[in-house]
Amino acid sequence: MSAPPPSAPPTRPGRHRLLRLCGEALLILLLGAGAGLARNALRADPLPYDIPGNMLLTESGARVVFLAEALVRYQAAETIFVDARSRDGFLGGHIDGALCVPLEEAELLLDELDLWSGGQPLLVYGATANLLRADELARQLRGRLTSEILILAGGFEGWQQGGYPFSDGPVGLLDAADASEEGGEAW
Amino acid sequence: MWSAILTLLGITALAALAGYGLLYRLAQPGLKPWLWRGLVVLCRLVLAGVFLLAAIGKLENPFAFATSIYAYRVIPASLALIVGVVMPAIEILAAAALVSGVLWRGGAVVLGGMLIVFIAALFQAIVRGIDIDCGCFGSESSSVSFWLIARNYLLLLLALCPLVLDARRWRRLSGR
Repeated sequence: MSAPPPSAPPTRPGRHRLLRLCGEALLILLLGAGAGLARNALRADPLPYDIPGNMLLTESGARVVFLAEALVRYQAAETIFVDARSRDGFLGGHIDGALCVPLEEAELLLDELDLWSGGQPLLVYGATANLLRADELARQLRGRLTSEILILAGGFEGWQQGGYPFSDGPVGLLDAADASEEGGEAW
Repeated sequence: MWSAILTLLGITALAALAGYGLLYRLAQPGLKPWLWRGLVVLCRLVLAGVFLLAAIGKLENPFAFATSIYAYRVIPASLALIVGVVMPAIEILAAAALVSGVLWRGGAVVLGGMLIVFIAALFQAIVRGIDIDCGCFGSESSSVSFWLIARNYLLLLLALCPLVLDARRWRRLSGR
């Protein structure tokens, strides 16, 4: 009479099932993360991962747009570009078609800017990638105008370096007095 | 703040009661096979459809989605950018798993986990008085509110239903 075969150790199918569930979830997470990162790397304008927080969340609440989107908006001619720099800076060179609204004079020019915008989105830019000036102007505009307010990342410097169209001269200078006298036909 | 906490507790209790009642009923023996199969497929398809729509809205502008995430003021900017890039792809993959049936249980777990994180993020934004768009569907998003939390609980139920039904079938087949 032979001895009975040793019984197999008890299995834990519930635990195996749970482990398989976690494994499937982990696999989807890893594959998804890889696909997302690869897609971003292959984009024409990949999103950088070192953007400072003040560009993601401006004090004014205005959305920051990058050069690629700004160029699309510029070509579609459905967005008003607003130069937040001083008049001297504007005269020395500005985005073609932009309106000059120096931060220091913003309060006086808001009415005329409102006339010109006609409800179109306003894209505010400053001199450089430092958004403080543009953000402050955007804050003032958001409090007074109903148009969508955007801020250009990189400012005029970034626009120039990107080789996008710009011009110099007085076209685009706003005058607070013109708003009431000529109904916004100043430029 | 206390009113927000009490409201959340109320919604959570309601969702838990409804979910427990439904899942308990589904876990009982006697449910016709065609019914539970239909329920599993229906839950998977609806959940996948919602997340596919959400992912498409986010894919259009990953930067805008990253700003939405950062606006919750929970994670740093660099992490928000990575999540903004990665999350739509994960949502699409999990939704595809639910539709195709390949790794669908993993897809349901992933989406269920994401919904729990969304609920927590929405709740902390309400308690802290952060008035922002939720970012759930990219540019087509609505403001943060308790209604969104209730909606996410409903979606969480859709993620749990097929898992519970599947576990029930597995228990029946394995004689446990």
